Amino acid sequence: MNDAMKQSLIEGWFLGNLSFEESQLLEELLLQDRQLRDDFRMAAKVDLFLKTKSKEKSASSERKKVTAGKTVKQKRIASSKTKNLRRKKSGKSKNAKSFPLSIVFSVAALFAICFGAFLFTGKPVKNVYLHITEITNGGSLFINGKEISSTAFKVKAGDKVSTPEGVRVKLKYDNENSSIELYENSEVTFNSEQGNKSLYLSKGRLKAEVAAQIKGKRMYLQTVHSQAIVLGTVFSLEVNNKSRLEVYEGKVQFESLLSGKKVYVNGGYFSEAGEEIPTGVHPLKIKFPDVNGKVILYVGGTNDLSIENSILQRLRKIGFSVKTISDVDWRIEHTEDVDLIIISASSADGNLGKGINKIDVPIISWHSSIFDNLGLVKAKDLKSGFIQNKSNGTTGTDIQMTNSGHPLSAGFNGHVTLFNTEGNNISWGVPSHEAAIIIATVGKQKHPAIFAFDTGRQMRLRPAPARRVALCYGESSRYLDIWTSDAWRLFDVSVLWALGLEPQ
Amino acid sequence: MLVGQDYSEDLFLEVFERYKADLRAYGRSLLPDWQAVDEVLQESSIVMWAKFDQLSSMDGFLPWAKTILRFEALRLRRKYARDRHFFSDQLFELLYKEEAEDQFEPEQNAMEKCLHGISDANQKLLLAPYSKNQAVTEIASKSGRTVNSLYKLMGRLRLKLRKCIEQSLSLGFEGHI
Repeated sequence: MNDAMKQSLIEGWFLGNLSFEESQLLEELLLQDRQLRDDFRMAAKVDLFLKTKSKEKSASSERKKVTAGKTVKQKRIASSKTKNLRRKKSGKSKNAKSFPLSIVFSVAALFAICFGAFLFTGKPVKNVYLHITEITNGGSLFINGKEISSTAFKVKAGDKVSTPEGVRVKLKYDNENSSIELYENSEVTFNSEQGNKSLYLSKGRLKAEVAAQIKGKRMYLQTVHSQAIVLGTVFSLEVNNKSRLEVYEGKVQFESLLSGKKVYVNGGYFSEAGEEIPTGVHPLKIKFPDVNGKVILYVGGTNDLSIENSILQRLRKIGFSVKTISDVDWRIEHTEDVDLIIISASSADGNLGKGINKIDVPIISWHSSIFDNLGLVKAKDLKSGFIQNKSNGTTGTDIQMTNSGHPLSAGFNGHVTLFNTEGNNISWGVPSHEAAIIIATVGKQKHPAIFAFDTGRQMRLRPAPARRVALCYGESSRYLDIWTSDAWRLFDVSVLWALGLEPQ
Repeated sequence: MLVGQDYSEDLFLEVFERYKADLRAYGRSLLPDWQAVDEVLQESSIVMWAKFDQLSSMDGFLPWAKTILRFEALRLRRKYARDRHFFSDQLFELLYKEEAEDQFEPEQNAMEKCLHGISDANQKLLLAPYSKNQAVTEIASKSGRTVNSLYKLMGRLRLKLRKCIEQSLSLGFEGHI
């Protein structure tokens, strides 16, 4: 049953038009789903509001009919209710207190004109103030479009704050230890209602450290795709073509405004929202199981692989034993007693020779020129290549995840930015067989960018002798400092999947 | 223990009025219609008044009152359970427990704004089920639609209204549908 049907059952309950069986079904669903129970309670409050509005209108209409005082009908109702209450009271012990008469009217007199005035206790709206505590790089920020370069200014509710390129701004709320760090090229509007702090992030990224809020109060953060509700925690929120919440401490309720789905995101996890993105919760860091004793052979273009040291160090830090070899020295015999082979784009395909496609050891590569040697694509130059800004005008920094449920997607949905700068090659290849698992595409033509073959699945000439993963990092392994944390995460999950391991 | 009876009575009236809307909404989440809610709230208010002296602090009024209301709702359920579907003890318990955690209070302005974002005709339809004079049937006959189709439309409108309120609450934006 989809969410729309569940919501329809909720409204049906309050409209009183559910069958006995439907009511039972609703109860079963409510018992299973905390979020649905939250929706149900909100629906009850809305029902009360509508009922009150109806009574107000009815009372207003009644007032027009009589010139003064209560109508006969109202008097009759009040009298009847009073009698009813007196009857109940008389059934109690002698020590029972007399019941305040006004309760009779306020509880039972359903047509009381003043009823609505008591329903929702409004509290005064407080203005929210933030101090600017730091502007990085001696730069400026903009408050409502006005350039500000001093920390002497305060930001109040309703103000829109934006940052230009290269400038980050830190702001702290008055009278509490909550702070917001606004990253470069970002824009946020601060607001407040009913004592709740609220922010609308229209562009870019922010990091928030929210102190525990006073009882009953929360902080609300919204983007075009999502809403996050916070009691007290540390997290970041980013918006571009999707919204992403990363929680470092505490717990945040995150809702996709497109699907209506809400999730609770604990510290160490993230969630995303956007068009056609299923809202899920995923760990921020890939935790490897014990890999002690596992050997990785890393093949590069030279014996000196110091330029690719980040990858080697990362793998060794996880616990792998990493051997390196240049493409010139490469021999099939080197793959004995090896658990995984990683072929970097710095290697030359001509040096790797024949037979590489028969090795029964898992292989990961982001060297698209070797994809045909490996049997991953159909024919060299025709079915693989690079996409970069200069060649065809597409954005060379984003890939589009297409298989979010697969372990190789690392929980990502929608666009993922691989590099911190634009103009880099993203390699792609058309898989040699439909048995391939396509994880991500790139460019307007949706070329497969990350794809894989499981062991035994048909490739170009033969079934895959072991798992194969084609990554799309192109020649970027020479410039590892431009890899984003998302790129590293995709790399990590490809190592895990190739080895048949699961994250902890 | 609270101070003398006269003051206690004023105080009771004051806090009861303050939390009446919360209690009604909570009652509505447990019970299948407003008639049952009104019946339970009336019974509950009598119990509350009788036991008001036992309440040591006004901070605890709402959870205390909800507990009483829950027991009264359970009592009513036993009375009518043969005739209609009432929620189980388990769901009562869950809703009670989570109600205490729930701090999302809809704000009157947000509700008003969202309601005003709906056309007059649809507003009239939304309020019709609370009217006692067959308003839905009347609208159906005037519009040439079936009562059933109007209830379906009402369900969709109410859901839109709820979503608008939730969004408006988050940032204090103008409610619109």
